[in-house]
Amino acid sequence: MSSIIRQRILAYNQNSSEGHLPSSFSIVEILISIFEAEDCDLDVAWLPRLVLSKGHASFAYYGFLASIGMITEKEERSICQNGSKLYGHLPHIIDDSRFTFGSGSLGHGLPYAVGRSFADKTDKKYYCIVGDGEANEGTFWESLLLFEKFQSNLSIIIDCNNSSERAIPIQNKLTKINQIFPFLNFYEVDGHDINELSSLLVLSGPQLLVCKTIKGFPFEDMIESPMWHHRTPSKVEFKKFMDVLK
Amino acid sequence: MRKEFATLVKNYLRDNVNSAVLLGDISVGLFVDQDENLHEKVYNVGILEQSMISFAAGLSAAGTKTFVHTISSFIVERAFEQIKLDLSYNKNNVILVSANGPYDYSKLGPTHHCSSDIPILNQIPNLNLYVPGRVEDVAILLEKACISSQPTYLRLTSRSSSLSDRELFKLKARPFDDVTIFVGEALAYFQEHADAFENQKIIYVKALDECVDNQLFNAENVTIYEPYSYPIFAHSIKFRKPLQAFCYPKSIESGIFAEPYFIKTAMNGLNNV
Repeated sequence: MSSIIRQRILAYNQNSSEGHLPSSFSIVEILISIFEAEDCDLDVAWLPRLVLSKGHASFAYYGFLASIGMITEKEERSICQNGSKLYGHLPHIIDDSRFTFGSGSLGHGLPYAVGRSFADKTDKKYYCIVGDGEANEGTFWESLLLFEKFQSNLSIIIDCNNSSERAIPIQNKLTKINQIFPFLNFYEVDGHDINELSSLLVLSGPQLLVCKTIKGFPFEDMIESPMWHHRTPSKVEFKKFMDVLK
Repeated sequence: MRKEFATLVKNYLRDNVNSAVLLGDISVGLFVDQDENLHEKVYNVGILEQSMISFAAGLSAAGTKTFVHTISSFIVERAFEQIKLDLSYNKNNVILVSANGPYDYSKLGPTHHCSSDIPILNQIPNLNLYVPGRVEDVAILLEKACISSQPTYLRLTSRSSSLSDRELFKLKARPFDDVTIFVGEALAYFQEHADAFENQKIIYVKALDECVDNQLFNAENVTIYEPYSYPIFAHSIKFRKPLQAFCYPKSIESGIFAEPYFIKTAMNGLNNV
């Protein structure tokens, strides 16, 4: 499934010359793990409980939805085309359970998810995917303070793909976060290991997972290369990447 | 107005199961009351305005009617993007209530002035902008906000007018061709300087989406007083010819304002088309 999602991500990108490939690739297994933690439920009703705060990874979300049949081929073709509601960051679409919280500007999803999960009296599980670069935002730390006061059944999943390290390094703080926020059930995991991730995501209570991921995974060219952050592969590169996935 | 707001919101919280108020460490004393058993609905979330707005958006998305209350500049200027994205674009009808009007904290300096709040928020689509000029209007506007499908910014002020509905009606019915409109707390300015407006028909506006066009049908000259740094209401009126508007903003960077500060827009020859 992860290979199919990555192929879709590449195809959306080729079709539109838009999208953030490495940031999308690093969360593919995280999305699949959440899906497995939700017992592979094909009903869209659970999707509002997933908040993708790093909205520039929207292509991974679209690819994930497509691979479980939750968006149509027509919608896929419309991604980042003129007039489409499915743009390069995650959209909010009225009365559409697949797109309840639009993101793109970083640092908005986590405080929203803390409020959304706290106010849900059913105690259902919520998930919020945050990037490690995004964790530089003040609102990330504000939200942890709020979360300590307004605890809920929320998993904060940090896609630790090394983005922060080229600017303001933060990973050494994130891996010690449980020392200052001991209320969190804290785990440091391989973000590409679906079995390990999904076994943790089924646990309830306030949770924070530092997921070690590789930006651009599994493509060597994209790893540790800022140039790829918002770039479209050439036809030759595209074919090479697709061949790797097949 | 703050006391009135606290009373009204506490009543609302008592009557509505899914409701909450978030305080940015302001007006906390007005909400402390051991007998009222509202501790699970009144939260002092302290000094984190940006996350407070996004958090409120989350509460609202889960069906909780949420009020957010703190000093105006910290809501509007610090958390502008959260209001734009998490409330307006993501359609969460949270009710933002300022603790103060533009120069209520005048003596504390420019960090606490907020004369730009309405002009700034006017850039955001689908956001109600309410500016009560009388204490009794707080209830009317809060009720309007509670049933609205859009988020709301309700600007409280300590500079309020005591004019009654009956007095306002009589002022509006004056048999003069020239009209002066007072928006929000500018009404208090009118009340203090009523002699200067003796030969004018007076209209009071408390919400930026109010329509006064019909009432101006026979007007020769119209002047509008707005209590913020750039005329907004003036631009919402449908005039029949281009009008000369003039403003005289003072520097808002520093200084103590003993006198109320308004943007005044005058429109002459309204009917001369």
